[in-house]
Amino acid sequence: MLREIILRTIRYSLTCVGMRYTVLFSITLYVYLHMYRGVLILVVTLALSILMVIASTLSDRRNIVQFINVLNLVGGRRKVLFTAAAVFISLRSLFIAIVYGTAILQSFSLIPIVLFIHIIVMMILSLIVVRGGIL
Amino acid sequence: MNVFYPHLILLLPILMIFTVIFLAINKYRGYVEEEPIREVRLVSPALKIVKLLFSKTISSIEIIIIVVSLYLLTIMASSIAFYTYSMKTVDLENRPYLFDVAGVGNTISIIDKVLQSRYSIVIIQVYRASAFNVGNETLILYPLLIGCNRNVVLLDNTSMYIEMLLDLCGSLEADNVVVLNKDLGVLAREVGLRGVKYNSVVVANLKPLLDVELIPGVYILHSIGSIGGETIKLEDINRVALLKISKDNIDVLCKDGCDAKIISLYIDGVYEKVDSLESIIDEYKDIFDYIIVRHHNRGTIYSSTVIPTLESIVGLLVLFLSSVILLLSISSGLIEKLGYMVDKLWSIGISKEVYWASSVLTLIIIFSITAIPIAISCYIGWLNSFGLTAYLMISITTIIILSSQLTRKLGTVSNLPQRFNATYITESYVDVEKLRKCLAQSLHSDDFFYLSEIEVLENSRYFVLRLEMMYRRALSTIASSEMYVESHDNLWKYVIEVDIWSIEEFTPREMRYIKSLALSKVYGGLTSCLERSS
Repeated sequence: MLREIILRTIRYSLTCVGMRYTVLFSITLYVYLHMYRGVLILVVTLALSILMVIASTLSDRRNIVQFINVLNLVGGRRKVLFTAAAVFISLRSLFIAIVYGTAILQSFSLIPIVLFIHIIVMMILSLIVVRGGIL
Repeated sequence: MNVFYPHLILLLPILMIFTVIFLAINKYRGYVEEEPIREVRLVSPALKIVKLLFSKTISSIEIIIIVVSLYLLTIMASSIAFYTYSMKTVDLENRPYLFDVAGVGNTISIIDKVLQSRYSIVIIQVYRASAFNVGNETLILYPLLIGCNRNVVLLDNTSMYIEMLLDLCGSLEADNVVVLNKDLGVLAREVGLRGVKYNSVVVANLKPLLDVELIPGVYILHSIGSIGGETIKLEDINRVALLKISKDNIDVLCKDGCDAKIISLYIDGVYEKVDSLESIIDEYKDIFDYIIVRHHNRGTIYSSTVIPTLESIVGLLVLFLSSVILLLSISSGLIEKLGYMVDKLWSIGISKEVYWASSVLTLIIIFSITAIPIAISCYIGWLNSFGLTAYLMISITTIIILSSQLTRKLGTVSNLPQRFNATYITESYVDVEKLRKCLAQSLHSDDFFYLSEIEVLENSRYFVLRLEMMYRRALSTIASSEMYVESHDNLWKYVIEVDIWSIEEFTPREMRYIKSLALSKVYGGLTSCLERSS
């Protein structure tokens, strides 16, 4: 059951409009990380990518609320709701994380730290969203 | 790394400004509506709307995210901008060897820096003519000031012109000496110069200096540039007065400021201790408008006029693209909020045009206020002009995108919902129960809808068939259809109405599509049942 819901969540998250923006943003991020190597650029791109994930979550705000409602209607437990929402939002940062991953291959020492911060922030954000923080 | 810290410091005032605005908005929230009316004041309703919109939008998470990302993008634009010195190569073949590095400046104010730098010979062309009285005549002469470095100990392979300039420097030991061309000089010596401080005349043959060019268009003697490929320069050597470079001379000749060209020539190997050419180039780059470096027969001109690199331009374009993506994703939430407000304002007589104009004005005010920290940072020097350009570009795009989306949103506000119904009139009568069974059967194995409920409500005059169908291709969308059956004399009238109820987010187009599909299914089912039974 949980596996089924997670798979459906992934499919739903991929089809929502916010995902398209995230993918486009990660393409521009790729260009940046390979063109510029300054520490300041890295800090700013990190902040921007976090903002982008928040923005894409907000653009799909109604979809997420309805998705949670539907899960409620079919009798999903709190744990299921939490997992589904976390998967929905974390998938947004996946493409951005992949871009940082490709930058690691270029052996830039600060990138792993940035990637680590990014993932931690995304997890915290997922928690906030699930508890009704920004929606 | 040294540019990194000022940007971090910049974040602090930005955060402070936001905190102050946020606190102010929170404190005065609802101020417009709840203020008791003490006196009658004529306030434009548009301004009231702007005030209301401002207080509602400035504290919304969307605007905060937009503004924060704008600041981040501005800092990024400022830090990715690289300038490069413009460069040009000229051919110096068949020209006398005059320098290894030469600097040319077009203002007299740099003279102190020039005299402190490492040079072999400095020439100042003063473009303000001075009057010299020779006998009974007054001659207008153009002063050319020359100074040579005293540490010059060695000169190899240089041209005769350099030796000539060094000889002239030797003649100009005292402040009151003037070197004139031989014809004029002899006359001046005989008659004597009057009324000026330069009373000691040295005579020399200056004619060889007349056509000496450093690079095409730049002469040792006065030249003011070229028009139509022809250089405009001093043609008469008797109009030149050579003087020594000294503070007194410059003060006398350029009392209230004057146009002057300063040329500094550096010849490698003139010092006892040989300096590297790179260090000379670095030194000259900060002083002169342009410098010329000679490599054998080629000269490279480096200008201190900066131009942006290709990398900066590409970076700026990508940055602009990412800002548009960020904006598009965030704008829907803000537009939704603004659209929600227009529904309420519309009912009290505010037209859509007034609302649109007020919204755009509010956005302009918000972005003008948030531009203040950027402008201050640019003024101080933390951000460069690229940052300001990026801010203006992105904020204008933001306003355009938001206003166009708002126009689209407002366009759909007042549209009346389209009714979905169909009427079927027939002479044949079918029993209600039979019709119910027939419809249930026809919709039983439908690809699009799953018939979840069908019931009959009967009355003495008419009856109603109610169908509830679930749309199979969505999570929770129900099409509810009602069929009113009435009889007029011998005719039977079937009116079908369809309504959609959904928990999902559908666009109006998708909604219409599902409605039409449901209506066609019910209508099709009804006609086939009626035809089959007749």
